[in-house]
Amino acid sequence: MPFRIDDYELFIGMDPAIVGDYFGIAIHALPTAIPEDKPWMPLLIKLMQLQKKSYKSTWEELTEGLLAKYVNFRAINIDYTNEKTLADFLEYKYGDDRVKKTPFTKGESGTKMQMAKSSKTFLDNGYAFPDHNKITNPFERNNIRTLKQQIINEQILLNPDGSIKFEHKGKHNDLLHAWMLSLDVTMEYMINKLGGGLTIIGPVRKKNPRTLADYNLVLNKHGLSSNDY
Amino acid sequence: MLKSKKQKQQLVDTFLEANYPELLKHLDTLDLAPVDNIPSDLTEFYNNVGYFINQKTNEYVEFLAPHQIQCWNDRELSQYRLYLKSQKIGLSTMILLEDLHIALTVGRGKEILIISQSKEKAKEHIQDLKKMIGNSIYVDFLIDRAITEEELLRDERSKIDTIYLRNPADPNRPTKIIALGITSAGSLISFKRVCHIHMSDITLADMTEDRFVEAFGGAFSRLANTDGTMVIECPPRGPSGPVFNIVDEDDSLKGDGIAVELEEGRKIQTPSGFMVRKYTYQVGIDCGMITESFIEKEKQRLGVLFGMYYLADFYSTDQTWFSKDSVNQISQEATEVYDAF
Repeated sequence: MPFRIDDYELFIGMDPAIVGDYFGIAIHALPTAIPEDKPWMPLLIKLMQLQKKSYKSTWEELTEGLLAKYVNFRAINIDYTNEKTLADFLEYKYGDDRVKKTPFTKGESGTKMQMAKSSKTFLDNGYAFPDHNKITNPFERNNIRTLKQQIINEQILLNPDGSIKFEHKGKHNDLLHAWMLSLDVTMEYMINKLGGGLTIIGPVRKKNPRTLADYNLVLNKHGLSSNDY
Repeated sequence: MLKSKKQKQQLVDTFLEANYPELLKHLDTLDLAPVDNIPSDLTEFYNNVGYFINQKTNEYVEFLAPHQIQCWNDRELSQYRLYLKSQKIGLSTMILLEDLHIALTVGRGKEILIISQSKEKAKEHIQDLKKMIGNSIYVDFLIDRAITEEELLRDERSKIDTIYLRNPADPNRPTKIIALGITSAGSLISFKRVCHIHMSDITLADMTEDRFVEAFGGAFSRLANTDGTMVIECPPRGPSGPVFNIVDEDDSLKGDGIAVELEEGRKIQTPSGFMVRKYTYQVGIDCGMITESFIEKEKQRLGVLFGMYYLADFYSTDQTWFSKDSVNQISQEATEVYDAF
């Protein structure tokens, strides 16, 4: 049976860059209908590594290219740590109920750790990657391979004061960040959906902060393990 | 045959004290070992130094293991070598033997640095090396007390962190083997005549990436004037840092293009001139240094870290967040959906 984009909710993760650096984008598709016979699990459908040239060219590539193609996306989760302009424009164009701005914060309760936990939870509970060797488009094949490289290169280290930090040791991690942002907002959607039909992203988070109990609720409802916490 | 002049002098002193002139005459007929003729052949040199002891059986090891011999022979192949290794396979001891050989031959009058994860660990290597020399026919090279008649300074004698060896070619420029911790990055750039650097288990040091790179660069710069050699033997720890970067240079090691994969024993020559080999616990089992049952217990004890300590795997460490296996989770559905959209 052919795959229809209308059968999925789309979640976009974006790790924008300064001019000249790489701008990573990842999109996950989550089946709209919760499956009865298997875990409700998002599937990766797109990876992009744009080399940011200027705001104008990036804006055009995004709005007239990618976001025009996936126009019915459910949410964008975008890094709002250093590069804020692009996120603000996206929010202005698509609305604050579809664009979530995530500043990366450090430490065990920081957003980076939270995203890493979301991603690891998916991985530990059956998330599957595309087999990059079987992808027909060579650029797409390379993007998937690069993402996998960035995933296994990600390290968690201790600072001298005992706090933790994530490190990628001078290597690019734009696709990894985009992938984690996308998965994180997907999990947030899943929690909200299961928690009473709340499907919007940004404002809900403030009223209904996510906790470990929320994660466990989702995992238990779908027969997934919560031992990783 | 007497092992050395020192041993002969001790006998002379003893016989004089005991007033045994007949024995003294006999002693004059005994030969001294040709200590100044250092063999380049491993077996001969190993015999002269004295056998290692198998820590499990407490028996002397008459024959070195194949990987130890391979390691010795690698000296001829590359100026810089990196061994990613399992614990307890006798590689550190073997490289110490090589350090001694260099000190007695091409490194005379120069400095050899033994750098470990901490200075305390490096001192342990120095202590092992001192014992090795003390039990060998090369004991006379060891300067363990002040020798003013050879115009050495009073403090130019072996200490807890430095071995001084006589240099027959230039007695007032002794050879030095110095223990250092990789954590003392600043002190690494204070040496001027370094001909060989042995780095042991440096990846186990608790230091930040920046300081690691600084220390590594500082140590390397010491070889500039002497065009010296370097050997690094350590377990890998995380896909980053100077040691990983050496291996990561070689794209042919990336197998599926994702992770660095190095086959056991295979020799790799990287663009920056390092020869790289990997030795897992299997070589230790093959030569009887460790047992299968010990390895099984270690698997239980170390869990996910087993790969780091015994499989020389960069990705099975306490620093990686996602496991290498996690990216191998693929499905037909995920592949088809990705291709479709």
